[in-house]
Amino acid sequence: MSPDGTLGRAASGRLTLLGKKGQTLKKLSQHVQYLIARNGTLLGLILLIIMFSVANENFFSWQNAKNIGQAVSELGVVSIPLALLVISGAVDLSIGSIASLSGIVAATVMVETDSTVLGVTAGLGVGAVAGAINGYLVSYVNLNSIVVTLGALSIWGGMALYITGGQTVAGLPESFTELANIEIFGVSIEILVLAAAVLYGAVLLSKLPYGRRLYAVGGNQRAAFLMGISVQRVRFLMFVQVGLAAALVGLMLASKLAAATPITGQGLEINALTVVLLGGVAFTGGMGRIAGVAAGLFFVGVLRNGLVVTDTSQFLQQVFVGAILIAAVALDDKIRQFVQQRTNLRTSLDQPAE
Amino acid sequence: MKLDIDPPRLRSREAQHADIPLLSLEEIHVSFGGTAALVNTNFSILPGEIVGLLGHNGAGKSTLVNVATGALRPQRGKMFVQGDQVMLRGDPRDMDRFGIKVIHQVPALADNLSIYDNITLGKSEEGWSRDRRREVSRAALALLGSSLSVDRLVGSLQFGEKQIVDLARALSTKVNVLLLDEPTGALGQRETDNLHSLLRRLALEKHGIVYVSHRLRDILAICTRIVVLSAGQVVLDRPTQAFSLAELSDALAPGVSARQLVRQREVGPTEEFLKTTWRGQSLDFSRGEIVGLFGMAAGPQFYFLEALFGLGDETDSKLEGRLYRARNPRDAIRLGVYYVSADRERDGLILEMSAVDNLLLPWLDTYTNGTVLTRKEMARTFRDAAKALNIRGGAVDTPIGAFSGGNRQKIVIGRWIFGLQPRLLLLSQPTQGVDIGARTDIARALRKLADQGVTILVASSEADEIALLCERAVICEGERWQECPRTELWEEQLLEGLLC
Repeated sequence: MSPDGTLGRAASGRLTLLGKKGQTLKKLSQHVQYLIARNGTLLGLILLIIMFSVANENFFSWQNAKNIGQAVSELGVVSIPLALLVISGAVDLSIGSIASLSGIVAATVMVETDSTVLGVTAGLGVGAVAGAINGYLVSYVNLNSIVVTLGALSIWGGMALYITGGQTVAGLPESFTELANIEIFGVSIEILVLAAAVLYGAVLLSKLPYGRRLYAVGGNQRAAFLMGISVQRVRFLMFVQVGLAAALVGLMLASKLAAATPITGQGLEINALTVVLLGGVAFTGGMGRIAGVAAGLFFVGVLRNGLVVTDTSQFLQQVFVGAILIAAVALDDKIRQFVQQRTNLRTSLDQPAE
Repeated sequence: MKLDIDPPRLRSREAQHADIPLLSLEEIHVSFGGTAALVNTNFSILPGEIVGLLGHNGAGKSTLVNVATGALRPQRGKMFVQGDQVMLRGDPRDMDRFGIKVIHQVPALADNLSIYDNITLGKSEEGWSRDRRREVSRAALALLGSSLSVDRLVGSLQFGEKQIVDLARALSTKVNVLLLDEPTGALGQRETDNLHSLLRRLALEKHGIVYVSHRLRDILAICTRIVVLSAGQVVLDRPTQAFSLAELSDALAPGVSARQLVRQREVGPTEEFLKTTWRGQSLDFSRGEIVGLFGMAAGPQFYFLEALFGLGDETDSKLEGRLYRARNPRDAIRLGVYYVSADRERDGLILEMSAVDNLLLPWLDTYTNGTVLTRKEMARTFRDAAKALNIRGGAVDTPIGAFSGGNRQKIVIGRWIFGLQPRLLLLSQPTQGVDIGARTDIARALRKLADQGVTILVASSEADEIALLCERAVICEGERWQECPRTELWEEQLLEGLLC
């Protein structure tokens, strides 16, 4: 019983009512605190938007929002499946190289055959195969995912350079380069693809059995195994999806630039991992939400864009992103404790005492 | 050479007065979120006392222990060590320096290190030579009557063995007050007796012992004083002689005596259900019976259940006349054979997930409309399970971590009752570390399940658990496992059978 509540009862009926009201308000404010704690990155994002809007009146505009969306679309398309993979307790560091290689293979096939369909199929095929190899080695041979994908990062990156001799592959068919310019109701295809990726991740995690299994495998692999969940298959399939998404990014970039370079994807894996961790996904697996990852993605996007719009050195954005990532992860533990306490509260709110 | 630095005034036990409490907590108040766990609670312990701490799950026992050991900082309250007030900083190292040690229900050990590393880790012995540390560890284990090889990896140990290592670790340095949270939960009778005589010896040397347990028999056997907690408050505090078993039982779970629940069923015509051979032992089980597999802590009965579930060396089995072969848990589950491990935190729960997810994880594919999960139906099943098993402490979406031990166990067992109908249910110490109320809830649910024709095997090292749940028992010890039919003096006979 809260102090004001006791006092209220001691004094009079009317005071009791006030006391109860006060308590309701207190609980409400605790609810707000709970929401803030769970959505720290989102709050940071909002603050960032307000900051930049004040600093420059051109920042807060529809056009700039579209710019930001386009700028982060490729990063987002791989960050979502990567987040799911990290939730399942593994990581893929070879994303950038898979994107590069897929772009190169697709471009080479298109230049040779002049067929967009063949090129796209080949590019996605490379992604699926690369992902399947990672997945096989991690899930079925039981190797550490950091080691395996670090190796793959080097292998596929090197392969992309080897195939092209380090050169850019240009002269792609128009039917392919035109894909990047498609707009539906004034929204560019990149943003639509990003939206689809976010929707896919959100539905998978919260609505499909497979999503529950990702959490279970990442949270307690042994318990999941003893419940009859096929731990190996769950992770294997996720690696294939990450590979496919990386390949898609390679194709998107090749289409946008009308050329494929063997270093297109360089650094993509690190940026994607930054987004995932900024989005509150636990590196140890078992925890994370797509809404958080989306907030992390736009946080990075808005920061980059805002620094350009406000004429701050572009190089500083890297410094900021890094510092904020460390701060976010450091705060994460505190936030989690806080959430745990609030969860108890929420339980008591959900179930009014008899 | 390092010195063992102790505060000098705590060192000499002769110098202290018998009437100054070793440890005293006054007006302690702890609440989590909106829920009060301790309400102005007072607790103290004199030199030479063994105080039993009793109460339901969620009554505040663990919270009190955590405050005493510095793991938790209360919102209000004072703490005195031998008459001197100490700061409640919520730092376990402070309390460790005062010699206040705790043995938790779930041993806190590093699985990837050897037993001797675990025992000497983080202590002044750490710098000693390897042989010296092995020697110290061996001595600490011998004190507990255990002859485990100190070079073994802790990860390779059974639950009961881990607990012994944990105890040895606490006892290898200076102790003033030893708090034990469900210490005998996974111990067999012999280890329990060893532990009790050791605790008595410590008490004679004027140490203080706080003994938290659900097992009344243990409490009555060893404690000099008993404190009963309910809803965060001390409701009874008397010398043990002033209590009777019935009275305590009543204080814990009003109106329900555990013994009442056990009833002898008419054993109908035995229908052959499961025939199995494992490591030279041949066993037959009938449909719808609850059979106890009784043996030592970490005994073969636990490995037998794992083998049936597709873990470890295979059994040669026939289930309902057809060859039964499980290479992994998935195979077993597909054939309606389910298993509950004794280590529910490690093997049974996904702590990050909600209660309903934990309950229904193996059955998710049956809760879809083709592709998408039907949360409403899942919630309905959870509520059914919560009603049948009397699960309290949270709603459908409450994280499993917010539930107390007994309720978590009910969810772990409920998982296999409220999914696809089981044929054979394998339970390893299913009521370990669970209060009387939860025990009866679980026993009742299992009885009902058996009445529906499900065969249940219960592996345990506790005679009273077997007596509570089972209709017949097999003593899993020696060359040939012996049948031990139920009689009036069953518990005693089981123990005798094991020791002979």
